[in-house]
Amino acid sequence: MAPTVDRAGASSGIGFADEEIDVNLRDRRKLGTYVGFVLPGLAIYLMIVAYPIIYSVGLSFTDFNPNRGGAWNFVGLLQYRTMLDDPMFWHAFKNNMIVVAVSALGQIPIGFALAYILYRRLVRARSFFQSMVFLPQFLSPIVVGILFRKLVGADGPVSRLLQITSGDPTRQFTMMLKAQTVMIPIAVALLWMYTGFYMIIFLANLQKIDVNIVEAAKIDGASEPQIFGRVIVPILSGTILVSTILAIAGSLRGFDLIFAIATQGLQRNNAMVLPIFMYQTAFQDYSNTMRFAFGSAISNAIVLISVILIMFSNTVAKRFNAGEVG
Amino acid sequence: MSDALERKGFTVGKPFSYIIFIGWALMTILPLFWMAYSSFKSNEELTRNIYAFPRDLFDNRNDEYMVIAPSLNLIMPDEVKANTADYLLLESTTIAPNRQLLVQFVPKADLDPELASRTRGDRVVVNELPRKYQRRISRSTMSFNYRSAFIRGELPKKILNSIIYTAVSTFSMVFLSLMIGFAVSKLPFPRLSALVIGLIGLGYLISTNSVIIPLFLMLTRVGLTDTRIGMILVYTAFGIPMSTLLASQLVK
Repeated sequence: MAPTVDRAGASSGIGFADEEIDVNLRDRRKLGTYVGFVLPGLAIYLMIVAYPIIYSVGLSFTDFNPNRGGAWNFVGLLQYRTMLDDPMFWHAFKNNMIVVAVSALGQIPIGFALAYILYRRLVRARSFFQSMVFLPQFLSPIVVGILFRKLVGADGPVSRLLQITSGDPTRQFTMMLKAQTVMIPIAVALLWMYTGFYMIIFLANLQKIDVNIVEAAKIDGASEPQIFGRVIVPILSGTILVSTILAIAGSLRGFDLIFAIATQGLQRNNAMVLPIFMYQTAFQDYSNTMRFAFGSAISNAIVLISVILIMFSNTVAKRFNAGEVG
Repeated sequence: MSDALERKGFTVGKPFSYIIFIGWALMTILPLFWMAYSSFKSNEELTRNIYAFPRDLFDNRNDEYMVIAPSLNLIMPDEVKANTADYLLLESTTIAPNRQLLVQFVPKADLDPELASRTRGDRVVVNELPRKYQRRISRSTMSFNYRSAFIRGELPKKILNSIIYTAVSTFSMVFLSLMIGFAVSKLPFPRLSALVIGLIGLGYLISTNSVIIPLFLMLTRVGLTDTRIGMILVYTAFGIPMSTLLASQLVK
């Protein structure tokens, strides 16, 4: 008996010390595992996503000259001042705001309306209509862009349709040719392509609503507009906000669709949005020795504008919700 | 479930809803349908009548061809290239004429001596040729646009590139972010994990085109522009934020 107790006591004493060493060792080994697991992914991410952000901010304060092997001096806010003085920047900004408006005030309400019609079963063959509205999502923006460029081109199907309906064989679809109207066909293309996405989001969230709420509202004698405005919309306000933020962020970085619809030259200059302006400045304007620095300034401005717009829509939503509760 | 949501009887909304949805469905189908059937038309036909259904490429029994000499612009199969003199090179006079796009190669050995002896500039009508070549020419005329895309547009190479980019970058993206997700949610380093997640979370706000200039400069410096590895690295890195979020929720 006794030796056993002794041994137990002895071993427990030693074991305690052992355990402490063990914990340290295990922790260190785990830290090794942790670093081994996190490092490869994090390194690639930091190198390719995080570092360029800092690089881009730094670049926009210099006169980095790629034609002279990247010689640079610190020039302060020169690039930003040039940018704000450039009428093309303001033109692109205006067009970008149109795109944002089409997304936030077009795609989202229309997507919501379509989802609500499907949700309230106002039409038959719902899954067919649903997939028809969603279908363009499966195409690449470049394909949609080229398709629309053909459709609205000077000798395209839309022009031909105008000729047939008006009986005037010289009639052309001229919206793409004028600076004032070029954004209209582009807005149609944007609606055509992206509304389905928001419709699906809204429909999924509408179907999550408890049917009993709608039924209770009906029993209480609520009219259809009341059910819509007082029951459905408040429940979905969070979804609407998230979709709005998605739409704003997406439309500020939207590049490919507009780039593909408008042909290079005057038409693309008319339809210029900020990402295209940045691209053309940095990668096509070879005579500008500060093209990369200037382009960086533009892309930083895009990030800044999108952060401001997202914060703005957040505040608006909060105030709106506070009003609802009050 | 459907009872409460369905509106009974006639409401003003119903026909209105049908109009909207049928209109939208047509707006989706018609352009895609137009694009699909236009891909079977020749360019001349498309210019002549933009709405007409394809006819030129299918009604090809009596198409007229012209014997041409080999030129630099002409893409020939290898066996033709090896001994051009043994083949009659025929170019369509109705579909993309003078552009060496629709060209047929017929071995002279299989032809009548009279046909085989025709020289540059002479006309040949398809139904003069042996049955076998009539069928072959007919098939290749029907698929003219698709064959051009494959041969002249080098579509197989591009499809292969797409597959490589997609497969490799998706695999490495999922692999790396599952590793991060596991470490972050299973190993006992909460503070470090919060830092890692925070850093990666910033990536949601960043789109490719807001860092494209520094990225281009960096990749140029290390010689990774115009390489597949460069593309895959960029796709992987920009996929990591989203897939890390999903992976860490999955592992948790």
